[in-house]
Parts: sequence; structure tokens; C-alpha cells
Amino acid sequence: MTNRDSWIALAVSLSALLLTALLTAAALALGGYSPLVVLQSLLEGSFGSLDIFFGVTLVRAIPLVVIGLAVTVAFKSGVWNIGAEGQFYAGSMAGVWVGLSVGDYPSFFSVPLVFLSAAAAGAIWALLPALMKIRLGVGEVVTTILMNFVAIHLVSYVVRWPLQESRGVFPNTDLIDESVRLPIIIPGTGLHLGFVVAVICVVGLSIFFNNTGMGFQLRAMGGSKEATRVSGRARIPMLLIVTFLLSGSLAGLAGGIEITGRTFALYEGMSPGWGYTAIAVALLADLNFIAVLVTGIFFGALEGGAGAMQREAGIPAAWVSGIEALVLLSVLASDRILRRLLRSKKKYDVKERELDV
Amino acid sequence: MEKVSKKFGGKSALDDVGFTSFPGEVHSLVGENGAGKTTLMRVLSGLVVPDSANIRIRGEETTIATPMDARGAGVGMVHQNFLLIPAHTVLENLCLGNRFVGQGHVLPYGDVRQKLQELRDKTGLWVEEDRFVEDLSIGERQKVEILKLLLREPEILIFDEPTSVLAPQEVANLMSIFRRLALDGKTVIFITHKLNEVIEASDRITVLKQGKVVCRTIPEATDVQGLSKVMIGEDVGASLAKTQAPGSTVVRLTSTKAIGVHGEEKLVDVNLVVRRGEVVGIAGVEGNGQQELVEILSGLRRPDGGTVSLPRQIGFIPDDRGGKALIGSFNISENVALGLVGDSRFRWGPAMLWSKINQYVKDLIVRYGIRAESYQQKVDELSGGNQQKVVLARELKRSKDLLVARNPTQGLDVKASEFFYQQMMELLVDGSRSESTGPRAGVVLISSDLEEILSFADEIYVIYNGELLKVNKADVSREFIGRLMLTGRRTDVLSVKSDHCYD
Repeated sequence: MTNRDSWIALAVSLSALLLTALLTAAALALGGYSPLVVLQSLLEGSFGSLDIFFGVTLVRAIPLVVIGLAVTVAFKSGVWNIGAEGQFYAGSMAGVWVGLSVGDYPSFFSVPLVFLSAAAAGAIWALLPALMKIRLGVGEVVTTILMNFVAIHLVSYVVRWPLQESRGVFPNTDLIDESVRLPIIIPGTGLHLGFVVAVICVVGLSIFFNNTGMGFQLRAMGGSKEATRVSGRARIPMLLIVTFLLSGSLAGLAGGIEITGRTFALYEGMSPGWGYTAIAVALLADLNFIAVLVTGIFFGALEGGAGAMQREAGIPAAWVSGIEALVLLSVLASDRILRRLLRSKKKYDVKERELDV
Repeated sequence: MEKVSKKFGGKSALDDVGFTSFPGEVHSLVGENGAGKTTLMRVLSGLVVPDSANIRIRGEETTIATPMDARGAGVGMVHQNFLLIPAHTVLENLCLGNRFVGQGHVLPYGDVRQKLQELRDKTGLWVEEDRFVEDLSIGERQKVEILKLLLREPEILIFDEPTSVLAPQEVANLMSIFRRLALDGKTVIFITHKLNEVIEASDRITVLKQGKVVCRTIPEATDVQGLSKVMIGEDVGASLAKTQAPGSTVVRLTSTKAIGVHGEEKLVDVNLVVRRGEVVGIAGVEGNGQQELVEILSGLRRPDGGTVSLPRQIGFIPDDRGGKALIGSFNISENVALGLVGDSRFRWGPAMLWSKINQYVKDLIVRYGIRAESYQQKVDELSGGNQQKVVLARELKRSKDLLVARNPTQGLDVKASEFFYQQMMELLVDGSRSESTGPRAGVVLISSDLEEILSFADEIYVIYNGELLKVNKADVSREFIGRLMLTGRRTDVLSVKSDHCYD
């Protein structure tokens, strides 16, 4: 990536945020709220103090970052995996089942086992759409979305029957043993080791995609499947399988992290649509792994601040979902607008160059 | 049409062309690839705006600037690629874009059915209208395209290479449809480069060469041989470039077959041997099986029959630069790296050594004279010729055992072409390549440019209808190869007539 591209990507992201801010302010003003008061409460609820930042914003950012990475892996490789939500739930189910089964083994054994099984479950959830795409040519957008519904309803079944709590009252599982829970890394806040795992994933994927042969081939497939097949002599089905499995296992891992780090149990609606919000996280980051960390925290702050906004400015928390949607729309719009502006200039450059050849 | 001229870039595609056609005739427009046939007809159908032109339709001065103008003037064109929706029925496809009968937003099913019946009575052209397009054969799909056009009641029907996708029986069928349309008083203009069809089907013939009309004639006054001579030019004494004696065999295809997606035979029992140190040239009109052949030769596709033995290190220059050879959003370095992923010199375990790759690419940019700001420039931003140089730089380096090149000098200027030829010839010689001590390579040059083949090939084949026909050394001449490309026949079965042209 050249410097110029990075600047364009940054300009797209920033102008998208500006556009979102303006649209949100306008909407709030129309609804009879003061945009400034809302902004203040939102900021206080997410960045107000170190405790809030670590305990609320960063904790909420963890699943968004990890699932954002899952989406980035797929989109960068030209695979439209919209099924991160379902893969997350698959990972959560496997994670809680293994977490409950291992009992009180030592943590250094049980926690990685939970992570592994969660990642494997996410990967398996992505495998069916992968095979349908490769064998039958069925578009992954549809199949991955449909797999989401299967996972969501499977969770409903699991928490009512096979894994329901031992009291048998509420539709959720028992809590996992203390030994399978992630340690808190900043005492006094809720920030758990999952954040470190997320950062490791960011760095690892960034290195994988930028510096390894297979990562390069995946990026190439995202650029042009046909050129990768013909000129890269790559086996596209194999690369597709790798993409689906990697993407699915990351989303599944996010489920394992949530189970061991925050909820300690599985229940319905554990994810407020993170699988979809993560698409906005990935796109706002222009599919750059390092930037996903930043945009993930940004969306974590939005969700974290939602509670404070409701309490202090009297705004329903649902507004935050609206703002998230606006971010996504603004990213898509400003990307097109900016690139069109730049392209009209570039075309001229190219023409000139062709003339003197 | 008179005085039609059109330039693309600096190159003249049509140069003061005049073309006249009458109602009730089948008029063939023939010429080599790039002779300007399609461009001329695109002018008539409003898809290309000419630099200058005088167009009169039914005696009236007409300006055709858009496809809508052409439609208004009664001109319709059946394109080479069908524009049908496979998941819809024939009837639904026919309703699409034919607003003339519909009322409001209701699809005019009834009207279209009735019209189809009338057309069937008049021309005998018919496809079951309730079948889905995806279930139809290519020939049937073409009929749907023709019906779609006829529903608009045009007076002038243009067919752009309609027979290139058809089986022989379907071709005969299409020719009889042409005849009926002409009897109905329509003007049928038929673009092709298959000369036997021209002789069989047309009332009059116009031959274009390099953007100019070189001959106007009638089939009775000429024959396949005469036409091909006019089309390709005089027989200049072509000779085979001689290099050193060929070495061991690198490629061997034995009775190789390829089957297309619709079950049609794309390659029929192809036999081919390529030895180290020789250039095998394969001439042919596009669409005769070249695509399948290059994919098999470059190891991208498995044959559907027969045996194939290929060497390990193969360079492949495909024809579709933007789609198959390059990734537009990637920079030069990354595009070259597509060919280096498996190269141990640029790998350290799973890691790619980008600094080494970039250094290597910098050298290539200088050696191949690629005009770019830096190795980090995206190939999208390069001109076509420079993009092709990036492809050549990558693939020539890969061709340790074999180079498969398809129209490799497309878009290159004379100097760059010369450079490519020189590099290609060096592949054939031992030890001349600095970093390689390996054995010399073989080259397969597949080109629609006969000149290129005649200048460089040691062995010449012609691909025609999926068959690979070997040209004996004694027979090598432009005329002979040209005839083989166009007719698949080695000798004239038709009696030799003059190539007299009328004006």
C-alpha cells in the first residue's frame, strides 16, 4: 500500500465520521434533543474516566474487534461473509459446552481448550457455505446469512434443553467454573485478558496478510480471482476454504472470549448484532487490520456510551443502533464520493501519459 | 453510408469507407480481425459515433448518434454476446425492452404471443416461448435474439459474427432464416470472417481491410480462395525463422479433448509436440478453441480426454490482460510477485521477502522500459502498453521450460514488440539468460496475427473448429495458411475462379 492510498483511506474514514456526526445532530435536533448534551453524555459514558474507558468501552470493543477481524479477513479475500453473527454463536455454544465440561482443570489447560473449540465451531459453521460456494456455486451472502438464523435458533434450543441451568428456571446455561474464566488485566475494571488476545490477533493477521505467501495470495484473490488463478497459478478452491475457515474461526473465537471473559454463561441475545456491526467496523477501517483495532474501540465507545446517553440525556439507547447504521452508510457514500473526485483527476493524468508513449 | 471515418487514439479504424445495401438482400461484410467490420456496423447502429459520416437510409439523410436513433431509423443489431436473462422464459425475455406493445406497467404477454405467431407464419422462425432461456441451446438462444430484434420491426438487420458460436447444422439453419428475411424485403447485413458461409449465403459481398473497402463483389464472381487473397493480401514469400536445432520434447498432447460448458466439443483430438529451442506457432481465427488450448498448455485446465505431459516451469501470457494477467488495484511489485509466490529465492519459509522482490522489480522496470512513477504504482494507472510490459517481464522470467503466449504484442508499439521478440528468442538459446543455467525453453505462440507467426515460428499449425491442422514446410505461404484459417481446407474443392471485384 502506498502512502497516498493510506491517506485516501484515512480521508474516507474521517469524512464518513463527519458526515455521520452531521446527520446524527440533524436527526437529534429534529427529534427535539440538544445534540451537544447528547454528545457530552455519550463521551462521558465512554471516555469519561479511565475506569469507564477500560471497563466499559474497551470491554465492549473486544468482540467487535475480533469479529471485525473475521469480516476483514473475508472481505479482503473477496468473500462476502455476512455470517459472523452465526459463527460467533457457534463459537459461544461450543465454548460454553467445553467450559462447563472441563470443570476445574488448571486454567492454562482449560482456557485454551475453550478458545480452540470455539474457533473450531465457528470454522465449521463457515464450512457449509464454503462448500456450497465451491461445489455448487451458491453465493455466500445468502448462505452465510441463513446460517445466522440457524445458529440463533440453535442457541434458543440449547439454553432451554440440553444445557439449561441446573435450576431449570431461566433460559440460560450455568456459569462456568472460576478456573475457566479470563483474568482481569486492570484491577478494579472489567477489562479482561481477552483484550490482549484481540491485539495479538490484530498483529498476527496483519503480519500474515502482508508478509506471507498465502496471505498475499488471499489478498490477490480479493483483487481478482481470475488473475490469481491464471497468473498466480493458485488453487482458488483451496484459498476459498482457507478464507472461510479463518474468518469463521475468528468469529467463533470471539464467542469463546465473551464466554470466558464477560458473560461466563450462554443466553439468548448474547450478541446485540455484533456480527453485523463488525461489518461497519471492518469497512470504516478500510479493511486494514491495525485500523480495525481503532474502529472497534470507536464502536465500543458508541455502545458503551449508549447507557449514559439514555440516563443523562433521556435518549433511548436504540438511537445508538441508528448511529451505527449511519456510520456504515456514510462510509459507503464517502468512499464513492471521494474516489470519484480523485478519479476524475487521475483519468486526465493517465490520458496524458498514454499520449507520450 | 458514405465517407465514414473513425479514429481510435491515433489509429484509423475506418478510413473513408463507403457501404451500400439494398432491401431484400443478404449482404456479407468480411475482413480480418480488426479490419473495421464491426466498427462500421456499430456506427450504423449508433454504438460508435464516427468522426465523419454521411448516412442515408431509404434515401433520407439520417444522423445516428445514439442506439435510439438507430432504432428509430429501423436498424437493429444482433450482437456476438447474447443479452438474455437465463432465469427467465423466452416470452419474458421478449417482453423486455419491447415497450411498443405494452400498456402502462402490464407486460404485453398476449400481444407478444400473437406477434410471435405472425412471425412464425412469415419466417418460420420459432422457439417455444414458455421455455427458460437457460435450457436452450446456443442456436436457440440466437433465435430468441433474432426474434427480439424482429419484434421491433426493423428494416435493416445486422448480425455480428453470428455463426462463430454455432454448430454446422445450426449455421445452415441460420442461412435459411437470412434468406427468408431477405424475401420478406428486409436488408440483412452479415459480418463474418468465415468465407465458405459468405459464398453460400450472400447476394453481395463487401471486403474491408485495415479500415478500407478493398473489394465489392458477388458470390458468383469469386470463390473462397479469391476472397481470402483479397482479404489477407498478396502472397509475400514468407519464410521460417531458423534457430538452432530443437532439443528434447517439453510438451506432448495426444488426442487431447476439451468439452465446453454446453457440452460442445471445443478441442477435437489435438496432437501437439513442442521441443526445447523451437517456436510453435498456432494461427487461427479467434474462437476456434484457442482459449481451451492455452488453458491446457499452461496447466490451468485438465483435458476432457487424451493425455497431456507438461514441464514444470511455464510462463503464460493470456489474452485478457485486465482480467487474467493483472490485478488493477495492486501495484507493479505485487503484480510481478504473483509469479514469485512459489520462488524460493524470494521466500523465507512462509514469509515473502518484499524488499528483495521490490529490488528485483526495480531492475525489471528499467530493463523492460516500463514507464511508471515507481514500483509502487498501481497497474490501473499505467497505459495498456506498459501494463503488457509488466506481464511480459513476469512471464518471460517464469518460462524456464515453456512459454505459452497468446497475442503477446497486443497493445505494444514497434519498439516494445521487438524487445519482446528478442527476449522470446533468447529463451530458445542455451545459457544466454544470465541467472539461469537450466535447459532452453520451448515456445508456443498463439496469435491471430499471421505476420507474427510467419516471422517467428519454426513449426506452424492452424486451429480450426477445435482441430489442430499441421502446416507442412512446403506449404508455408500466407495464402495457404489464410485459407486453412478460414475454411479448414488444405486444397480448394471449389473450382478456381478469378478474384474479380466489382465496384
